[in-house]
Amino acid sequence: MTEYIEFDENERDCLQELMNISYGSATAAIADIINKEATLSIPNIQTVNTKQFKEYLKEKLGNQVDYFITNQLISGSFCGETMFVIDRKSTENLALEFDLEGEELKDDDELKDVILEISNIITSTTLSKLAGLIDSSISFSPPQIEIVRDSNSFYRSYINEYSHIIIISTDIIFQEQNIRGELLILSKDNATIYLKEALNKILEEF
Amino acid sequence: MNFDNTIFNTIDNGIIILDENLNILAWNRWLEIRTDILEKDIEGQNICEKFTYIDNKKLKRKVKAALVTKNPSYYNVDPHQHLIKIKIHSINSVYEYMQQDVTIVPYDIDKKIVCLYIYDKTALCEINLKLERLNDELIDLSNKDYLTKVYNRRYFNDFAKKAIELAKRSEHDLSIVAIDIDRFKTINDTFGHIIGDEVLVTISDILRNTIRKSDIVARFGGEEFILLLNNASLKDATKIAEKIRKIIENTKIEVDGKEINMTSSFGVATFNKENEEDITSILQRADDLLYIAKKHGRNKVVSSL
Repeated sequence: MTEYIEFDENERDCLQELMNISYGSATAAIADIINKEATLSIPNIQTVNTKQFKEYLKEKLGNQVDYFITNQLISGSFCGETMFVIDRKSTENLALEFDLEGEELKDDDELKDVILEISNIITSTTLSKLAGLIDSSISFSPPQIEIVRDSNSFYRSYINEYSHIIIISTDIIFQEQNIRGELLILSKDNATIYLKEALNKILEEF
Repeated sequence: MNFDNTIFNTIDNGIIILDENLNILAWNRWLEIRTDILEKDIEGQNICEKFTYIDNKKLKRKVKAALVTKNPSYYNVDPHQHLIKIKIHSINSVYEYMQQDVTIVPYDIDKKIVCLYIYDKTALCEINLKLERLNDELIDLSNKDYLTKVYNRRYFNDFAKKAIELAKRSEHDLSIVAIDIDRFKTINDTFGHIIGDEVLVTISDILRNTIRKSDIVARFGGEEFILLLNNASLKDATKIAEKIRKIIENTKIEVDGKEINMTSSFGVATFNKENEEDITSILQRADDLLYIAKKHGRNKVVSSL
């Protein structure tokens, strides 16, 4: 594994701005697809290394609550994978927005489908927009989903493949309720270098 | 030869072209063969009217997602299993229908047309299912006593730590019952180890069938068992122990026409919230009470705080 690649303050600000723009597309897409007004809060962005990521997961998944976690591979010059992490309560709230009711709200298969759909919309629109902004072409593999209760069952060897992880936390806000989900972008070293160069190119232009 | 048409009809995937209202515009050879429905007979029909088990609202949303985001949307094998029911003609398969992953991609955004690619995932799902079962067996092997199939001490200790934390947080009672089969050595010496094992298995079954789903039973040593009773006061736990004592007392094992009587002794202790004690200390108290039960004539339940 290579040394952790740091983003300086300007690069981080630029990334935050690009993410805000990208997330705008995701918001519009959600509203259009499920015919409900949704807004995504301004995303909070952290960049972490593998060790910090493991600690983040341990802390996040350490309170005996079910989390639905999807992951999707990204191919192209900005390659890696994305994860979407959301707890059961938020998932049930989101399912209400998808017009699920009664027993459906307790059915894991129905809930999985809702999360697969919302995470795919957020991931594909956000990353496609970001890729467009940094002049990159990407494609996605089908998303996978699992329900996780503790971080030990979730430490996979693939985490060691990534020295750089971008954690984007956001609230999906509907009229009635807040739903908290996190999009994680795990980028490989080459992709991180590519992103860093693209950010600097944008910074030079402005 | 139409090259596109060749690919469309020779590829090893199902391909369906749909408009935004879910009307079928194209249906490839792969699907014709597997469903016995020809394209000419299905073209123009609404997919959800033709296959009434498909959730119209859900599919419409996924088609819309592909058109709005200009990216693929998915109809995953987990959780959907399949989009189109295609019978599997295999005596070895655990599945009645082909397991399918479906990718929905924008085909013509202006005309609001999408393309569905259907992938056969049955073989992979079969392997995953086998692995899951083997994994469950491995977990059982590492957590359970090979003879009685109740939990072993290692698993019990892990479970108990979490149960105590939960009891502290939710301010619930938690009780431990220590159980020892009376005069087990005599049974073994008189009738042999095979009958001794039968006694252990019979008593394990009684314990497992008497406790609730939230409780666990573990074998701690040769003839010693421990129950962990979640959300059970000393009074509740004593009642459960007394019930088990009577069932064991009334259970007989027959050997060569003779009946073997079995009895057990019990020590019951409840987690002391004031002292914030650990599992070792509760076990010790339950064991001390069991010793008193033995000393005072066996086949008894002795409980205390």
